[in-house]
Amino acid sequence: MKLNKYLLMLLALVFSGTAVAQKAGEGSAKPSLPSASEIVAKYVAAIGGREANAKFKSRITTGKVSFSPIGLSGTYEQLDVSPNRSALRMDLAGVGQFLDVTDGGTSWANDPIQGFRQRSGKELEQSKNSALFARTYDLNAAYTSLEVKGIEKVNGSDAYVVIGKQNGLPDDTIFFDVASGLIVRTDSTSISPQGEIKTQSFPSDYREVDGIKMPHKVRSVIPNMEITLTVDKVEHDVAVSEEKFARPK
Amino acid sequence: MGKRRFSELGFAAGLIISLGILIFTAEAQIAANAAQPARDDAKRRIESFEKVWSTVNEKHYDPTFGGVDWAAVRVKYEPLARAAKTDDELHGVLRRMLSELKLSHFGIHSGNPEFGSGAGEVGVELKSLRSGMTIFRVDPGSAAEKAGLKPGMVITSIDGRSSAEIVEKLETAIAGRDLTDGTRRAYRERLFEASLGGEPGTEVKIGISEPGKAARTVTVIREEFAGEYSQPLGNFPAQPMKFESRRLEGNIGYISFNMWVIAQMPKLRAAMREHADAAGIIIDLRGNPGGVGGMASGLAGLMLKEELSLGSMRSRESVMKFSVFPQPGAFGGPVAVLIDHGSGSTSEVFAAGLQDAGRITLVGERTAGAVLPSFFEKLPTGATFQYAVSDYRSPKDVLVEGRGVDPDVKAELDGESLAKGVDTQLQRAIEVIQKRGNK
Repeated sequence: MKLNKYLLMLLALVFSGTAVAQKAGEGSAKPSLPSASEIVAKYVAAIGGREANAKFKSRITTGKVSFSPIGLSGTYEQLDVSPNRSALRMDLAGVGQFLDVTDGGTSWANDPIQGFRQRSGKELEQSKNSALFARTYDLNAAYTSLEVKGIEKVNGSDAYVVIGKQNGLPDDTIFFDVASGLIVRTDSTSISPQGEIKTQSFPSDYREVDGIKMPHKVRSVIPNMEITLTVDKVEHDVAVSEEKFARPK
Repeated sequence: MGKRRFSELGFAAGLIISLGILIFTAEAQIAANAAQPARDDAKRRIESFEKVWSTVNEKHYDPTFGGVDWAAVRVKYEPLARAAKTDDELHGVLRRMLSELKLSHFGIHSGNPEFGSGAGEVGVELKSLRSGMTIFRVDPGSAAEKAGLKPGMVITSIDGRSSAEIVEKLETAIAGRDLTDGTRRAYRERLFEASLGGEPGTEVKIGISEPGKAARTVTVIREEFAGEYSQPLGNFPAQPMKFESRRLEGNIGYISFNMWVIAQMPKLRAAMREHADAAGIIIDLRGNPGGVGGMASGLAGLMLKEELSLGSMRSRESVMKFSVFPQPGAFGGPVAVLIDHGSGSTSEVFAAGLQDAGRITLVGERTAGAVLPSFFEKLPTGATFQYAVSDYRSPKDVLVEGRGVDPDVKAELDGESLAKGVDTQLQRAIEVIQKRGNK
């Protein structure tokens, strides 16, 4: 009983401290928190530095995808080309092939169920933003502003909470691990014709590839569902086939 | 990959919306593939009980459980689950527990030894009509066709058990479930069909009556389904697929399929293309219990010129729309959709969504009223647990669960006409197309 009381008091202190830190982060002085630019600088250094990241012009990431609890699984290939092109191919067992392409100013998707559709409006803007090659290491390119809100626990460790604002698009909330500087969680809202889908993504298993650090596992939580991406292979600056961006006939 | 939001996440979430609805299909229909050999084991049974109760507790789209005291339900059923001596016994307890919710799309699929098992089938589709349990369709090349069974024949017994006995047994099995009349009728039909099933090569003696002829018994040798199966979709097992596309008199296209499974989608696209020059198209969803929800949008996109929504799904955390994306060359002529009490789930989304949009004319009978987007999950016992994660509302904000979709043009089947080779509902749909085509 004494031990429980002690633990409760300790927890109360811990939570009080966090609340104080969050409040400090919201104020103008922010004495106990680093600035957004300091947090981002530490993050960029943690993933290998801006120069090491910026030297690449293309990247192909291949791996596996699984959907829990429905037991659906498959493989994916994500092609990213500097400055603003991306092409995703996902093959799911029992479903078929999904394509999702953003090619500069246009974006479209094609799937075996609903067929082809061209994106427009805010959904298009969000897709174009997601396709920026530099957004992994140049957060100023991805966000109009970054604001530090405080510290929260992610997977038991302290993380700086930073709000990333985007012109006319929903904010992202990015969690940077205090110790490592790496991103350990991102809360975002995907715009789709079906509605807005709130997503929490947890990148982990960061590994070095060609001098830069990349997460090799991303667990994402959407309503009623978890999606897990695991990376098998990353290749940089390989020849880019234009067929990957071609619309289905 | 970096911190990228992953464009595929929004994409994948859209996919999940597509996959949202998975049927109210009678247990017998998916049991054959869902059943897994499982060792009787008390620990796994308790884990399975915990999984089912907790999942509903955490994920039921309605946090009030429709007024059901879900905590009290646990108190009532946990002792029964702990006392279960076999997996089958536990599954019965779980089914009764889920039936307290009085909703479709909550179930335990484990194979029900009460209603035949094995991959052998006769190859008929039955309808519960005033004339009795009546043969509606006979699969071409099936065991039933070889044995001379025809539409309009009434089944009076199976292996010496009278229809009344069979129905009584089925009623016991679905007792306690708060089903709509349409769903109850569809359950009887599906489970009656399952009673005709068994091991391939074995005999089933079917008592038959026909207008103006003496009652007789026909022996049918069950055969394995010779057609195509869909691929398993995660935890949702492979399903036998039936598909028909033909041109009727009067230059009217006719498309019928037994279930909304993804492998039907290329066939639907091809059939819609084939009928592009038709005066109209009839889509027959009678007896179609549902399947992949997104396919309703997929098929609708083949007959719409503008983007619209077929309705919405509300879960605890979100409201999502069934968006339709018009496809190049979409059919612009009149479309009639045949529905009946066996049209469930995705069939109802398609029917309600396009009816509200004024794009189709619904012909037939009120649908099942069993339309809740659901997931399938494996239990430690090996059974598959189905649970709903959201509701469905039509574009006019009508909750279809427990209510069904009413036809624009009412038409009933009757056994005598079927025996004469006349499908009265199809005839009405043809008239609708001809009338609209003449406008």
